[in-house]
Amino acid sequence: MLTLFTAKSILTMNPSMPTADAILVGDGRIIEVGHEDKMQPWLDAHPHTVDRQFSEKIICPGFIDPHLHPTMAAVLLPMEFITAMRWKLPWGTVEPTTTAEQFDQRMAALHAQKEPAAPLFIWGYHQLWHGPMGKQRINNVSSKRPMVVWHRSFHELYMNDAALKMTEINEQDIKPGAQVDFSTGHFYENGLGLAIFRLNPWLLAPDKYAAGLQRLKQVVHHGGHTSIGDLATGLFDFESEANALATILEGDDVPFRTRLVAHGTAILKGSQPVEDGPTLATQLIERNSHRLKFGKHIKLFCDGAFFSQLSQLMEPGYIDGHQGEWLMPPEVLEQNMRAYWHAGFQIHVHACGDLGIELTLDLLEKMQAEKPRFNHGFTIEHFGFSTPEQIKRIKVLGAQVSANVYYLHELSDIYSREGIGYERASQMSRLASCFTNDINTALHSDFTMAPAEPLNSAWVAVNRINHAGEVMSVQECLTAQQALEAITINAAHVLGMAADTGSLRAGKYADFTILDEDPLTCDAMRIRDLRIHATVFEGKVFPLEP
Amino acid sequence: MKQRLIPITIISGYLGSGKTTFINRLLTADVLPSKVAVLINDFGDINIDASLITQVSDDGSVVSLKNGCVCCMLQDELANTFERMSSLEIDHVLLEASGVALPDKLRAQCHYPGYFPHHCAVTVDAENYHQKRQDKYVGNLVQQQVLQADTLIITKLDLAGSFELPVSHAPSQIHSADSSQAKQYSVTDPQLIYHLLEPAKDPNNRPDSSSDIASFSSCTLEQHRPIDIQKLRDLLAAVPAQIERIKGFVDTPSGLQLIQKVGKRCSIAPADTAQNSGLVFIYPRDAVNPAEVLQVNWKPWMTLRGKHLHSANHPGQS
Repeated sequence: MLTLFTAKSILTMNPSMPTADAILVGDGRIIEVGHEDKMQPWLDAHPHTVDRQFSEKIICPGFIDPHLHPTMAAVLLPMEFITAMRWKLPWGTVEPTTTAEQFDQRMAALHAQKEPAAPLFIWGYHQLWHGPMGKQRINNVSSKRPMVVWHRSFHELYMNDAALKMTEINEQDIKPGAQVDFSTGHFYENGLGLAIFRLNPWLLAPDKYAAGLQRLKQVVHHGGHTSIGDLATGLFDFESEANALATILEGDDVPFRTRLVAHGTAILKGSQPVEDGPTLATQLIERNSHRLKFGKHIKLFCDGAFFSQLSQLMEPGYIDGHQGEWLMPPEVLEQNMRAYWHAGFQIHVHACGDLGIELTLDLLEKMQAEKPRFNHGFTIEHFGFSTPEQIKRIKVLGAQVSANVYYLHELSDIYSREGIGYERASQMSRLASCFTNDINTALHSDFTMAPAEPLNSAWVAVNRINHAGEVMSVQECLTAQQALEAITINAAHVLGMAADTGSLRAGKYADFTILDEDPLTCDAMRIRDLRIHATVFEGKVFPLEP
Repeated sequence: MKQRLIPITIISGYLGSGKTTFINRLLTADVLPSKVAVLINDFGDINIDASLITQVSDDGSVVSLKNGCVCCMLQDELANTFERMSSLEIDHVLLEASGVALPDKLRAQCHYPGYFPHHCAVTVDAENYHQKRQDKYVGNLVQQQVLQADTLIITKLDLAGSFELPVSHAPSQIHSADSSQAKQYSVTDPQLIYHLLEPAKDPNNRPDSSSDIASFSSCTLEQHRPIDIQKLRDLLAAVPAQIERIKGFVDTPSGLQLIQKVGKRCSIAPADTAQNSGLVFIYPRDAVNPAEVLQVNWKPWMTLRGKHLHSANHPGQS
C-alpha cells in the first residue's frame, strides 16, 4: 500500500527539484516527489491512499543533529533547569531567568512543588545573570532538602547543608588547594571530581539513567529530528551505555535513528595497542539494529572545551594569558588517526580552537601524503575559532565541518570582553566562508552544550545575533537555504547517511519534519519559533502536541 | 579522629620523556619501600617480572607485588581511583601523570580527602627537550611542566651527552620566576628515589603544602660595561661557594655570551639575540647572602640591582 502525502510546499534539498507539493511513500521509502498529477503511473499500478493531513503544512527533510551526547543528556535531563537562555523542552519551555531575584524565586517555587524529601538538582546557574551563589543562599530556600545548584558550564556546583550531609562531605576532609570552598558549598575545577563521585548514586542510578534516556527520546522528537549522531559512544562506560541505548532508543515507538560513533580511545580496554582500534571498532558493526548503527566512523579528541576556555588558541591567545589544553598528546592523536585513516574510517575530530584545528589539519595533511584518499569524510567537530586560511586548507584536504554555532549566540559577547577580544569572538563559527568554499558544512548542538533544536541552530547561523542582541560578523551569516541544508542533507553527509536520508527524492527513507510555516520565506528572526507540527520517520507519522 | 593523610608523589613529564621507563626501573629494581601504590596510566607499557607478582585483581586493574607494593591502573577520573584505593593499606602513592597534564593542576587534584600532594617530579628528555620546548603545539606545555616541577629527572643523558635548561624563557610565556629552583637529578642517581619518597611532613603544619622544595633566594647584577672573556671566567670561578647556580647574558668584546653555571659546571656560549646583559645568582635561602661579596668583586662591570632578596618559593596554583 502506497501513501500519497500532499503539502502546501515541500522543501526537498534536492537542487534539481527544490520544491514540490506531493510525496508518495511506500514501505518506509520515498517512491516519488513532485506533483500529484505526474504520479499517476505509480498510482495506477499500485493500491494507495491519499493523506491530506499536511496539505496546509510545509514538509522538510527530517532534521538531523550530527553531534550530540545521549549519555550526558540522560544525566542532565532529570534535573530542573533555571537558565539565562531559553530552553524549549517537551515538558515545557524554560523561559529565561536573568536576575538573582528571579533565580531565587524559581528555586523556591521548585522546592514548593517537589515531594519533600527528594534531593533537588538545579542546572543552569551563571553568575553573570544570577549573582554570587553559595550554601547560605540555597539554605535560605531550604536547609532540610538536599539541593545542588549546577553551573551552566558543568564545571562547578554548589551544595546546601543538607546536600553536603547527604554526600557525607565533611569540612575536615577539605584541604587547602582542593578547589572546594566548604563555607560556600562550592566545588569547582578539580574539586568537582569529589562532588560528582559522591553524587553519583543519585545521578547514575540505573533507573535514573533510564528515565533520563526516555526524556532524551522525547527531546529528540520534540526538536524535529529523524536522525542523530551519538558522537562518542563510550564517553562514560562503553558497555553500559551501549546496552542502555540499545534498550531505549530501539523499537517501533522511537521516531529516529542513531549513528553511533565510538569514542576512539575508550574502545581500547586496558592495555590494548592503538593499532587494534580499527578492528575493535569494525566488530561493533555486528551489534547494529534497525535504528542504531555503528559504521566505519570513529571519534578522536584534539583540544580542550570551548565553554571552559580550554581550547588551544594560536597567538595572541587568551586575554588573561592562560593556556588551553590538549586532550591527548599530539603524537597520540596522530597515532590514532593513522590507524583509522589507513583502515579506511571516516574520522571525526573534536577541535575547538584555531590551534587545535591547525594541528588537526597538519595531521590530515600528513595522512593524505601517506595514503591519499578521496571522499573520506574527515570531519572537524565543533569548529569554534578558525582562521580564513584554515578554510582553504579544509577545502583542499577534502574535509568537512560540523559546527556548534550556538557558541556564537551564548558566548561571543562575554568572550569578546573576557576571553579573546572582539575580532575573534565575532568570527566564531566562520560558516558562510565554508559555504563559499563549497565545504560540506553541518550544524550540531553537542546537546547538552546547546539546545537540541535544529531550528534554533539554524536561527543562530542565519542571524548571528548574540544574547546581548548584537549581530556578530554579518559577513558570516548563512542564508536560510544554507542553514536548512546544514541541518538536513549536509548533516546526513557528516554521518555517512546521505544515500538514505537528508533530502527528499525517490529511493530515500520517508523522513520528514512537518512545519506550520516555510522557514525559507518567513522573517529570519522567527526561524527558531516555527512550530513543528509532527515528524515522519520511515513513513510513519509521529505527531507533536501543540 | 584525625586521619593520617597519604602523600602523593607525582611523576609528570611529556610523552616520551622517560616516565614509564623510570617507573619500570623502580618496579623491577626492587628499590621501593613496601606499601607504595604506583598508579599507572597504561599497563601495556609496564613490564613487571611475573615472579614479583603475588596477586592480580579480577578486572586486572590492581596488581599486588611481593615487596608489599601495588600497581593500580588509573581510571578516567582520578577521584574513582582514589576512592577505590581506600581499601588498600598504603603509605605513599606514586602517580604517573598523563603526558599532557600540568603539575599544578594535578597537585590540586591530589588534595582529595585522605591524600595530599607531596612532591612533583618531572622527567626531562635531555636529547629532545630543547626541540620540544620550541614545538608549535606543545612547546608551552613542556616548558610549563618543567617550571611547575619540584624535581627534574633528566633522562637520556647518555644519548645527549650533557644537558642544560635554558636560562631564560620569553617573559610573556611564563608566569613564574625560573626553573632553577627545582633540583635536578639524573635518572640513574641513586639518591633520586630516596629524594622522591623521603618522609613527608604533615601538611597541616606547613604554610604551603602544595610543594616540598627547598626555598632559594637570588640576587641580580646588571652589566654596565663589557667584560673581557678571560676575566669573566676567572670571576665565575671565584664566586662564593653557597651559590648553586648562575645564569644570564654578559656583553664581551667578542659579543654577547650566554652564561650557565650549575655547581662546578659552567658554560659560556655566544648568544644570538639581543638581551639585557646581567647575571642572576641563586643560593639557598638559609645560606649567607653573597650579595656584598659579589658587589665588590664585579664592581668595575656590574652593579647590584635594587632590593634583591626575593623568595623563589614555588608558585602555587593561582
